[in-house]
Amino acid sequence: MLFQKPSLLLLTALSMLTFSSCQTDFEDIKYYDGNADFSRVVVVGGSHLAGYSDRALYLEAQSNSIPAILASRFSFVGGGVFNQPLVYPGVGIGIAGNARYELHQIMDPCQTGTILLAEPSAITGDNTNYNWLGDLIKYNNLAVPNTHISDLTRQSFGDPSPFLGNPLYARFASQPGTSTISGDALMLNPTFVTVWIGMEDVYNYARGGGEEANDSITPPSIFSTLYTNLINELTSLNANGVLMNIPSLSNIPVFTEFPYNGLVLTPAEAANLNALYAIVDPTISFTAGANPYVIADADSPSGRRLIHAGEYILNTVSRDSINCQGWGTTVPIDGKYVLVENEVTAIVDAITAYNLTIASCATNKGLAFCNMNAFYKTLGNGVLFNGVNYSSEYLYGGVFSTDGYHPSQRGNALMANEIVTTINRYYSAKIPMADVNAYSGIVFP
Amino acid sequence: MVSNTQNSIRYIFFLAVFFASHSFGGGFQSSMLSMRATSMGGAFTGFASDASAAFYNPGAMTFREYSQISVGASFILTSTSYLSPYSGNTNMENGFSMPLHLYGIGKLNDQFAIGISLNTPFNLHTTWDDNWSGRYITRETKMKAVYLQPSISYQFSETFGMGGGPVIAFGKTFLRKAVPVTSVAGETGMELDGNSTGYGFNIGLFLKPNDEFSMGLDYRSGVKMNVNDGDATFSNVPASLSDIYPSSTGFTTEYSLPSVISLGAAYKVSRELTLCMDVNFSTWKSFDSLEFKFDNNSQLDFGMSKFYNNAFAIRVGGQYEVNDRFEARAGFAFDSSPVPDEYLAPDNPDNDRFMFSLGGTIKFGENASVDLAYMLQNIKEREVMNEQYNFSGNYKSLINIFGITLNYQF
Repeated sequence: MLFQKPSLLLLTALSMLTFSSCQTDFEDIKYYDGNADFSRVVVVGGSHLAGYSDRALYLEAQSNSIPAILASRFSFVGGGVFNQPLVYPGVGIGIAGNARYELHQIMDPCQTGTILLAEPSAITGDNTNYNWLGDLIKYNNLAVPNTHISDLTRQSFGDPSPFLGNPLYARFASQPGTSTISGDALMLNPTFVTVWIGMEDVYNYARGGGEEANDSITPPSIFSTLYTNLINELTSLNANGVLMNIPSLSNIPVFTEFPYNGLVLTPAEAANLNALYAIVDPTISFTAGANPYVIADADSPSGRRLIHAGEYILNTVSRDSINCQGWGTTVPIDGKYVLVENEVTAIVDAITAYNLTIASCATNKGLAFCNMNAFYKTLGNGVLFNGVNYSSEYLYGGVFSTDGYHPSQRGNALMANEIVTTINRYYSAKIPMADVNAYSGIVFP
Repeated sequence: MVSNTQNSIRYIFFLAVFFASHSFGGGFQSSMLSMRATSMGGAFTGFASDASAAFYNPGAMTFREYSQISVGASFILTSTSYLSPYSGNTNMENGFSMPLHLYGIGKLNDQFAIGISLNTPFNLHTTWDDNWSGRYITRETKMKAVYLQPSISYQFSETFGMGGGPVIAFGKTFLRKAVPVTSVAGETGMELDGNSTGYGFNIGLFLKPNDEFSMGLDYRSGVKMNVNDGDATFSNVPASLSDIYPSSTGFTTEYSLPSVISLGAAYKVSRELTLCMDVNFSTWKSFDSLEFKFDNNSQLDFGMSKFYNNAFAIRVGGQYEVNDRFEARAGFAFDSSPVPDEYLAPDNPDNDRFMFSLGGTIKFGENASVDLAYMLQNIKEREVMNEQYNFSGNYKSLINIFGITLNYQF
């Protein structure tokens, strides 16, 4: 009888299974570099391209910096080696030697609940990070935190003496104290340049509270001259490239976490404040619901006024001070945490002028132009990627790191993808974008 | 006792036939509900020649000459690949499922018969790697419905019968995915597990004007499934966000399984050969979205857009009586997918599919027999951009199915 032996039945089933169990794998997609050449990429910029994140320069964020993610994409289309001046594993180097920030859940001093606060992950950053790396390796990523456009051609920017040069550039300058970033860039004989410079030229001022900051805005006329020179020089060896412009204030959490009218009052709270201000300054009054915060203003007789729409409160202001110590209500918020109208105008005007320079350089030199200003607006409205809605909301939006100004690693990937999209279009290339969700998100305690 | 030579010839013939016939209309309607039907591409509404008539067309139950009970299983191996524009090829975790089926017909007299059917007409199970690029959409999805159908049939005349009964559906909804929140322990995960019970009915008409020709019409109603007390659990939740993501809570959801209208015919070409054909129409339009609502926490509520279209299938099959002991069958079917491009998600990477099936029956004496079937389903490659998730890429699948049904008639 057929299939009398069970083994024969099994054999039959197995042979059919082997014969017909088919693979469905897709072939690799064919990518190409179009009219661009990524064999020697050079990156020039400030903290955003250096991989600075969470208010520090640390290894993980550097390893997943915008240029590092771009290099991983270029590797599909003949991209060459991409060296970065990486710091040692650990808490990194940051502003004034601080360690990278991380989120902590702490008791709200004046309420019963808890709040999330970005705080340094260690008492100090790692000082051994300042040892010179030597001139054996040529670094492709020459982006350095806290770089103004004028620093790119300044020899003292690489001075290793304490507090004279930039702590990162002095660490890897080809000749510390003598070489310049733009000179080091040309030494690589670049085939492709990625430039995002000008952020520090305006945002050091903006993030420091405007006139109260330790830095001023680079005048647009100077920026224009230096930027044009820089691009002329970088492309003197016929490099291709992509230029990024400067985003405006309105989609960066530092400036949006505390909306100008974020003071929400109950009817009783409003009545109490009105009773107080009837004496202090009768021009100031409150209503139940959303109110503008009270800020310091030397021009007002009472030394204070309500903040106007279009002015900004910086998220560097202590949340405790707002929540518990009457800042923004009984105590006016200090000018170093506020951008008032004339400061906002100066910032906006500078950004507008810088962006005209950047766009015209891209046109004149035949380089791709990546409109980061427009992309930040897009991020402000939310970007959907593989089921995740990214936005500019502080912490929960996922784009910006805990410092509210520099991108998170996923933010880096989103921005790298925008740059890849620009390159693909301009150079008729097909370069794959990065899987944003494969990068680390903000870690909540 | 059969000689070795004869045995070998039969073995080779069996293999040949096996390699040279089912499913319902796309979406996640299952194939392989009875091996006799399966091996003929599922074209069975107008033939209904075994106990699975209790499912395919209860109007045909009184036309059976004997009472019969059948029990069996199918072994479904799914191979699916996804091509990401960001990260290249990803294969779905090998999908294996083994739904069981049970059918029975009791002939009370020449006019009345009763039947019972227990099977899994809706069966979806997809699993992707935990860290894959679509993990915020799905890691694992199960949508299953087991249908229990008691039915009764009455034969009005020698040529016309009608049957029907209630459908009692037992549903399982299981969903596992990542939540875009990272804690020190890793990424937050969500797991939803819910059961439901729904009701419908099934009515079949069967017409057999002569010995050569028969036809059938069957309508199985849609079934509304309500998951009222599902369990939701969240893993790796950051302590600071535990108010939003409780470690466990309850959820509800609801969805509608489609009604299916089937029209079929069978024609006996010769003493040995019978040809069958079926068309099915499934009202998948009712499957528009899955809305998950969480107990006391509307912040967690989310929906999955489906917006399925109605779908149809065309099936043809044939049966050849080799001798007193053996019947061979083959079939072919085309099944249109109800899933629209802009809402196709990796939890059900469906597309139009072609199905090829083969099989046979081996009889053991007067009362016992075994039905075997093999089916290959080729789900065409499809390039889509899911609008709800902005998740794009290409999908293709091959499904290999083996099945066995044991029959006993009395």
